[in-house]
Amino acid sequence: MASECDLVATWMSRFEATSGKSSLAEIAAHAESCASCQEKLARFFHAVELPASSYLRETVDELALALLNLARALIRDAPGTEETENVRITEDGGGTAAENRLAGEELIADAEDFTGSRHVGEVDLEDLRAELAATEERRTRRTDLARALFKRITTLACRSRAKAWNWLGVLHYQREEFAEAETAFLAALADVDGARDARAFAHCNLAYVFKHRGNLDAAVKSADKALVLAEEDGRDPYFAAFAGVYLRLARGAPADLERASGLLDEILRAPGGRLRYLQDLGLPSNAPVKNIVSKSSLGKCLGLGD
Amino acid sequence: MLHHPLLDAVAEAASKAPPRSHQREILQRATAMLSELHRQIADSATPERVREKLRHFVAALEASHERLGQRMLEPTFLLNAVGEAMGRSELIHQAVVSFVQVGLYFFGLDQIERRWPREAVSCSAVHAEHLGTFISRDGLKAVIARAKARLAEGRPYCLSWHYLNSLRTAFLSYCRHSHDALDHTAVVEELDAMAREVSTDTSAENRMQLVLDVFRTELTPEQQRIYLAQHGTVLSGETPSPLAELMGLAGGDSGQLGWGEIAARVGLSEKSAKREYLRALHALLAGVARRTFGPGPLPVAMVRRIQDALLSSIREKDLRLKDHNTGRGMGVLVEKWQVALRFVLASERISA
Repeated sequence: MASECDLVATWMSRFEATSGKSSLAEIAAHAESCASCQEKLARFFHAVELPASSYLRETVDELALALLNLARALIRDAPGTEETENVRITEDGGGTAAENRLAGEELIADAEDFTGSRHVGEVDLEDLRAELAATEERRTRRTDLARALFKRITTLACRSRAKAWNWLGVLHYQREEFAEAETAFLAALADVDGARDARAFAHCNLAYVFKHRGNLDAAVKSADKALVLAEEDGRDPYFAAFAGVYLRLARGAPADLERASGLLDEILRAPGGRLRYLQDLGLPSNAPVKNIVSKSSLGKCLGLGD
Repeated sequence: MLHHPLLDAVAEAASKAPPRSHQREILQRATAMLSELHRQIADSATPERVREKLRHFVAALEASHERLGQRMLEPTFLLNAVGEAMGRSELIHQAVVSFVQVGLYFFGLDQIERRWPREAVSCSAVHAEHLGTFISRDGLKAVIARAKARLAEGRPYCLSWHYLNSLRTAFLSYCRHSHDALDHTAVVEELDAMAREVSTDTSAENRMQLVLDVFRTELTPEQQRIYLAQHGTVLSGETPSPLAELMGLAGGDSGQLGWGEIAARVGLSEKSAKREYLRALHALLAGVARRTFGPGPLPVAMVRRIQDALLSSIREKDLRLKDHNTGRGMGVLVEKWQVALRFVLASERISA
C-alpha cells in the first residue's frame, strides 16, 4: 500500500473548499508520481486506462447475428422435402436471406475497414464473403449451407454462439447423429455469453437425445429444466411442456400421468394451445408422441382415444 | 522512403509540445495514427478497397492542413479535421478511433475544467463513461452520418462540438437520474443563480406563485406562522414583502426569532414548534414536487430521501435534532431541504 497522500482527495472535494484549487494538469502530473493518488483516481474513474473501443466486438457480434438469421432463413425457406421439415423455428422475424446477406456483406466491409486487414482474429473475411456469396448461388443444399454458417458462428467471439451450437445440435439430431447432437447442445449450455438465449431450448433438445438413448429419467429431468428455464428467461414454454408430456407418458412412473396431465392442461389453457398441440401431434416426426398420447387417458380429452 | 508533410509536421509539433501535456499526448497519438495509415496504404496485404478509403481519408486531412496551416496542429482543430475526414471518406479505422478516443478524452477534461469547474468531479466521471458510448459502433456510425449530412449541406462538421454537446446531454441526464444527493449539493450555487434568473421571467413567476399557493393552502396557520418566524429575515425591511402582505403577517411574526420566542408566540412547547416547522418544510416540498412532477411517487431519489429524513425526524418522539455529527441536526436538515426545493423548482428548466 502506498503512503497516504491527500492531494487528489482534496481536489475531488474541492467544491467544499474555499481555496487551494489545483489545475487538472497539476493533479494529473502529481498522480503520475504518487501511487496513493494514482490509486484514488483509478478508483474514482473505475479505471484510468481508457477501455478499447467496442466497435470491432460489436461489429463481429452483429455479423454473427446476420449469419445466424441468414442460416435460419435458409432453413425456414427450404423446400419441405429437405431434412429440415421437422425443425421448428421458435422465434419469428430475423429478416429474409437476401436482407441478411446484404447486412453480412456490409458488416464484413466494416470489420475490414476497421482493421485494414482481411483477417479478424482467426477469421478470414474473404472466406466469409465467399460463404455468403455461396448462399446466393445455391449450388449446395440449403441445410449444408446453414450448417456451414452455424459452424462459422461458433468460431466467432460473439453472443450468438450458443444459439448456433443449439442449431447445429438440431441439424445433427435430424440426421440421427445423436453423439454429435449431444456435444453441440452441451456446448450451447457451456457458452458463458449467450447461454441464456439458448439454454431452455438446448435442455429441451437434450431431453430428446436422452430419450433416444433410452435414458428416460435423464430425459424427463432435462425437459423439467427446460420448462423452468423457459419461464425464467421469458421464452415460449410450449416446447418444454410438449416434451414433458411425451417423456412422462413414455416413462410411466407413478406420478408421471398426473404431472403429464398438468402440463397438458397448461398447454391447452394457452391461447390457441389446443389447435397448436393437435397440429404438432399431426406432424409425421411426432407420430410416436401421438401414439403414446392416444393410448393414455389424456388422449380422450383431446379426442384421440380409441 | 516516402515523404509525408502532414505526418512530419505533426511529429515535429509533438516533439516540441510541453512534456506530459495533453497537447503532446494528442499529437503523439496523431503521429501514430498517420504512421499506421501510411503503412497500411503502402502494404499490398491491405485490401484494395480499404486502401482507397485510407487514401481518401489522408487526402482530406492534408487538404485541411493546407487550409488551416499550423492551426491544424492545435488539438481541437486536429480533432475536427479528423472528424471531417471520417465523414468524407466514410472510414472507421482502429488507428483513427484510437486517436479520437484519446483526443476527445483530453479535450473533454480541458473543457470540463473550463466550462463547468464546480461540477468537474461528477462531470469528469460521466465524461469517462460517455466516451465509451461515443466510440461504440452506434456512436461512430452516428458520427459518420452526422458528418456526411453536414458536409452535404455545405456546412462544416465539428467533432469536438458534437462530442461536447452529447456530453452535456449525458451529464444533464445523469443529474436527473443521480441517486446521490451530494451530486446535487455540489451545484447549489448554480441552482441559486437559476432561481435568480428564473425570477425575472413568466414561468419563474408561475413557480413562485406555485410555492405561495402551496404555502397558503397546504400549511396550517400555525405552521405558516412558525415558518415565517423562522425565515422572516427575508421579509424584514422597509418595503413590505408581497409574501408577508399576502399572509397578512407583515410586522407580525416575521423576523428572526429564537425557538423559545417562537414557541411562546404560537403557544406550543419548543419541541412541538420545531416539529410543526419540520411538518411545514415537508408539506411545502411535497406540494411543490407534486405539482411539478405530478401525482405518484417522487421521481427524484434525492428529494425522496430528504422527504423521508424529514418524516423520520417528525415521527421521532424526542426529535433528536441536536446531533450535528450524524448530519441530522436541524441546520443540516434545513440545508438539505433547501437544496431539494431548489432542485424541484429548477427541474423544469433542467429538463428543457
